[in-house]
Amino acid sequence: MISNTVLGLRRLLSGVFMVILGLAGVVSSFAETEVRMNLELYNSVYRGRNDNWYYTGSGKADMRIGSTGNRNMRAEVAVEFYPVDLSGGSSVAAVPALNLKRLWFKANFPSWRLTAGKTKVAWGNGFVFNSGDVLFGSLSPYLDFTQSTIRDDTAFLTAFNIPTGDFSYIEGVLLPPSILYDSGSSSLEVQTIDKTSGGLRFFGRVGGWRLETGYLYKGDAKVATDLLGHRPYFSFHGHAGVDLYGAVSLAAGRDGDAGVNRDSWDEISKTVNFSFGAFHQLQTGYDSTLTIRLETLVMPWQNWSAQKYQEVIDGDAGYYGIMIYPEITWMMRSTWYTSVQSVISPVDASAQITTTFGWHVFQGFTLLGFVVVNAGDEQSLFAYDRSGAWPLYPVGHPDEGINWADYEFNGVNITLGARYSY
Amino acid sequence: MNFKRFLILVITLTAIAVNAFSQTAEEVIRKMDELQTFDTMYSEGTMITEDRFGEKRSTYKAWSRGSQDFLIEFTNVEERGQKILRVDDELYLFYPDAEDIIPMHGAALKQSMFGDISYEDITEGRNTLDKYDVEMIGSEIVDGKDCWVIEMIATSRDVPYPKQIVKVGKEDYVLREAEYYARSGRLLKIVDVIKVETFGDGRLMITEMVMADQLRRGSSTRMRIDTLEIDPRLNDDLFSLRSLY
Repeated sequence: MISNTVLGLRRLLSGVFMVILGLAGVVSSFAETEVRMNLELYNSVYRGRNDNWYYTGSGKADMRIGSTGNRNMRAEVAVEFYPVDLSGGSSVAAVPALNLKRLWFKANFPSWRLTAGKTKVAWGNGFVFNSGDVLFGSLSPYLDFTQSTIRDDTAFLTAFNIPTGDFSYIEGVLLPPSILYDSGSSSLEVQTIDKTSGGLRFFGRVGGWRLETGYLYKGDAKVATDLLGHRPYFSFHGHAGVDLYGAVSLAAGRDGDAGVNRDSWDEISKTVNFSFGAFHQLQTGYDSTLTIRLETLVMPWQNWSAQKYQEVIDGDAGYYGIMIYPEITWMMRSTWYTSVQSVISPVDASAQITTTFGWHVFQGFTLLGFVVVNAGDEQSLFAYDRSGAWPLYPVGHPDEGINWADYEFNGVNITLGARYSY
Repeated sequence: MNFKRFLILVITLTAIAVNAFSQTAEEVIRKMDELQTFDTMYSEGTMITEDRFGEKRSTYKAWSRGSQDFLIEFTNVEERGQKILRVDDELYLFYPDAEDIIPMHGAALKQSMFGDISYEDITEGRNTLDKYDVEMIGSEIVDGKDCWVIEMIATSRDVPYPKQIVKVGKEDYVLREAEYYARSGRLLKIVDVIKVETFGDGRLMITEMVMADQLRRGSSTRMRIDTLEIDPRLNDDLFSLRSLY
């Protein structure tokens, strides 16, 4: 079975990591470098299948080695460590995992900039939902707000950025096909050149609005819910009492992953997606602020009636026509904050609600608490208790890989943790 | 002189006197702003907040052109590579981990950048008179310097402190002390100027100040300029999106 996730390469990267560590030592002896560590540690109590409760410790270490001192050159290597691989990419669950998250340089030539390596390029506008992000597909409703970054996907790419003014530019990007990992045979599969992705965008200002438009040919998936083929998009960001932003995109042509050739409006229309967002911040007292954000993702020609969850995760049911993301954050003295974030699926009347408490205690050190609760019936996108509709396929079933272990998250999670950067 | 004429004279003289004081206060504030504005400037600085849990420290490099164009790059480990660009009335933030540029408008500018300092505070043009009505209310000796005492009342709710009292040196037009008040009249913060240095063409510049919180004992923010270059030559494209990536 082929898994197109880079997570599966972690074990193979441990050797690479040792080389990087060695290089870091060598480089630091004759160039200006800076090493930054980010630690995240969590203690979670959560419910699994059939009202079984679990207590786990988890965490992540992220080491970044960046260049400093040369304004024309920047480079960074970032490696993430996980004490236990729960991603499913490893055949032995207790194996520590390693992920080469970033490996890039940027060279500033007199009239253009070159970016190359494993990194990201942010296209479009949106915090949670971004229809303009045709590179990494910010459409999935499955989000984990306990993580320090949301949708932090990276891929190998080469980008050329040519300024056309102080606040406008043209950017071209080329992404080679991902190398796939066959977890069954522990072998790699290199894809053919037709899986290459590439495109161009233009960014500029009109009045007080920032407008962006572009096109990408998407040859292979960079995230689980990617739409492949021809991907034109348009995006905007401006201010009219509150900050307003949004984007629209679609997919046309051959999508090998979905097994369709979108050459008619019937097929193309299913991929048309709009994202809209509004953001506002209020001063509440002289040293506290209240932040309100509301985003929505609309796919007008997708499902507007509730589907069975098995069909949703199989990919047979498509997407829901609308998803909503509200967020409210109250920050006090830049030291304490609390927020409520939710992904709401109005079509099947379900929601995932994450309440966060944070306290920046010392320099770089933050104590955190999360309560995550799903609200919805067992067939909905966010079920409070899915025990009665647990995704479990027999061996040999075409969707065998979707099997959920009994210890998977099931509706309720309470986490206490901390982050430390140094 | 009948009572009516007497009243008119008093009102007229009072108006002239108030106008003369007001004008003087405006001139002082305008001069104070001018002295803190340079054709171009480069600085490296440190901001330290202290409370009962210890210190939090941010370091930065900053480039400025006139009173409206700024580029700030954070250099401390936790925020390294985060940048803020202001050109005219536009403000952009760059987060290196997200590789994303975020434009900021309106109320978002009030967001705290560090401790008590908002994005707007650190990057706004020095146009104090656009936001405050000012009035001369007296004189006072501060650290041995004879100072004007000027009351500043915000003309809109769009500022963090509705009332300030600033004490400005009569000889050098340098701020020596400031008090920030809540709308209720309660004293919130006191700013003490710790160090003033002479640069370039002999102009004076505040290089260290402490903002002490009057509601929480032991809580303060210290701002310090560690390196300063006046009128350095800066590339034209420094104040463009290109500098953010």
